[in-house]
Amino acid sequence: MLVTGMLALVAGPAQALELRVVDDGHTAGYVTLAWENDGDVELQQRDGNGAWRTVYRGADSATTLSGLDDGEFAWRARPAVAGNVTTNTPWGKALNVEIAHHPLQRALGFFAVGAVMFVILLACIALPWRVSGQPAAGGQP
Amino acid sequence: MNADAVLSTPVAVVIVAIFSVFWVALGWWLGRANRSLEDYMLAGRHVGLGLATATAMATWVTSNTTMTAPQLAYQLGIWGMVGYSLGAVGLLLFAPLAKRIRELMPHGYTSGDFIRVRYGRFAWRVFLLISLFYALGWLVSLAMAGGLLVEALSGIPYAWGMTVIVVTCTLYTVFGGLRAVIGTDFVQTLIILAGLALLAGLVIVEVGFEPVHRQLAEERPGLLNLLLPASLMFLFNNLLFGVGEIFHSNVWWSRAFAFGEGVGFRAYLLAGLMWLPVPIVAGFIALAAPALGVNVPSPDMVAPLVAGHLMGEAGAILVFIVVFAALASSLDSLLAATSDLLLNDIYRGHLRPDAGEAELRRAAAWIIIALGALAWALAMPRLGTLAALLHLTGAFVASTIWPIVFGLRWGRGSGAGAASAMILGTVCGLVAYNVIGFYVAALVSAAVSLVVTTVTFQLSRKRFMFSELAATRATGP
Repeated sequence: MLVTGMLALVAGPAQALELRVVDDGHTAGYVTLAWENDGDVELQQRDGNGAWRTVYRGADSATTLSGLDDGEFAWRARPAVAGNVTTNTPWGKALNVEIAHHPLQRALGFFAVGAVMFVILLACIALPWRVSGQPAAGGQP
Repeated sequence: MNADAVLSTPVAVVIVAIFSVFWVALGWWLGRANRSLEDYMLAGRHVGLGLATATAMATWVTSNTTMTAPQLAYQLGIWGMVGYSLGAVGLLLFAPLAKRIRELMPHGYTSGDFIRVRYGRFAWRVFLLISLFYALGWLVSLAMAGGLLVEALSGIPYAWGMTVIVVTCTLYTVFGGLRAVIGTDFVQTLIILAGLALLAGLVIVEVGFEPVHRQLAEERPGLLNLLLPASLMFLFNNLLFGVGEIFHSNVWWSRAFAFGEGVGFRAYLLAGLMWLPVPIVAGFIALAAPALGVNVPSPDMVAPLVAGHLMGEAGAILVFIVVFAALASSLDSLLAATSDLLLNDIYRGHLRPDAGEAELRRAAAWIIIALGALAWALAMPRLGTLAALLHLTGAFVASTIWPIVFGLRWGRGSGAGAASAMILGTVCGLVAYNVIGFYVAALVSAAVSLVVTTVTFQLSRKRFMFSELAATRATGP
């Protein structure tokens, strides 16, 4: 995973919110971000066109974003007062995360291996069982 | 961490108190019928179809089903939800195995008995390490789920909720043994099924399929993608993980021994069919989170958060009771079955081969208490998410599938071969877990184990006499 920090705005260091990844699912399209703050925060995500949009505002100290496509995503956060009114506090460092799903070919390969094992397992269990107590000579796996 | 607690603390405390006292009292009452060690460990070996089906179903509906299944739906989308429901295959396929096990080992006590007699002491010890690691991982994940649930819904600190649930389950399992576990499971099954049916109905009525789908398509289209690579990899991984869990664990073997003659096959089949839709229902609740605007600080809390958001305090109470029942029904089963394994295969098998019944009966109770204490201590630091902890064990248990299935079916095979399959499968599964992701750990482990087991069975000249298994208890460890 590529995680880089960049200074989005000139910020007062005492109030800047720092984001961190606490559950990294960059090859599966999800990521859980966390931050430290006593009050409400506003979290924004940078879309493909470069525009920032708010994806969370509230008092939790983490959020999980899932269903993300391949590409580089960026998030930034800042303290906010309760409700929809944001303060003028500066944005913290943006956190960049590169989402890179496994190649579909690899995924289908694992899928096929699993399917083959399932069929073998079914056959092993569905075939008639040897009568209990009978000598087991001659069995073939 | 979560600011969305919807259940007031006093209400949560009252619910926990009422159900804790009820489960302990019921366990003690049911345990009065125990007269012997066999009663305590295996409920007298004559459990009927109704109780057998209920205990199999309730044990498999764990807090992981009600909390991790929604988590996987939220992270991996549609296939995450469907993949989790394939855990039912383990129960369905164990039905014929349960019949076979009961026929081959009418006096058996544990899954360890089978491995020891079939493959010898070295493979037995490898198997015990795997099985005990898995049991501990599951116990800790259940304890963590209890703490998370209480915290998510009521704001009661994680440590307090987790402690109360572990202590409650430990107490009634100590008092009543497997008889108490099965009896409480029956009541818990009724609660789980009624609660989930009600919840699913309410979600469909209140939110509906269309708004959920529309919001996902706009905001998180990847969750609807049927070719999402990680989800494709996860599908059979979870199926094999579930199969590995059930095929090796003494939770299911002890029930195969405890169910009356001819009951096991039908009980496991019915339980599998009843379990199949549960993760779908739980997963659908999670997928409603974006449409409802619910923030998910930790993905394993998504189901209680959505239910609480949607239905207010009544919904939160309902979820709380359902998950508490699911949690207890699995925690007690795991405590009982793992203590059986420790008692029979470690205490009696390695430490005190000449121990009498009275000593074993006392040891059984102390082992349950020690297990509960250990699970509590390991769950206290709250390391990782439920799914991460759970799927780590997948690398271990999936390696046991083929030695068990081949060993029950064919007479060839050696202890060295079975041990190699389990060791190599586990190691490769762990490598895959770290290099690729949790969603392939069981798959890789099972694949490597299959290759090793097949080769060693082909090369083996040894012929095992299945009749040796019938005398398991006469010989003893």
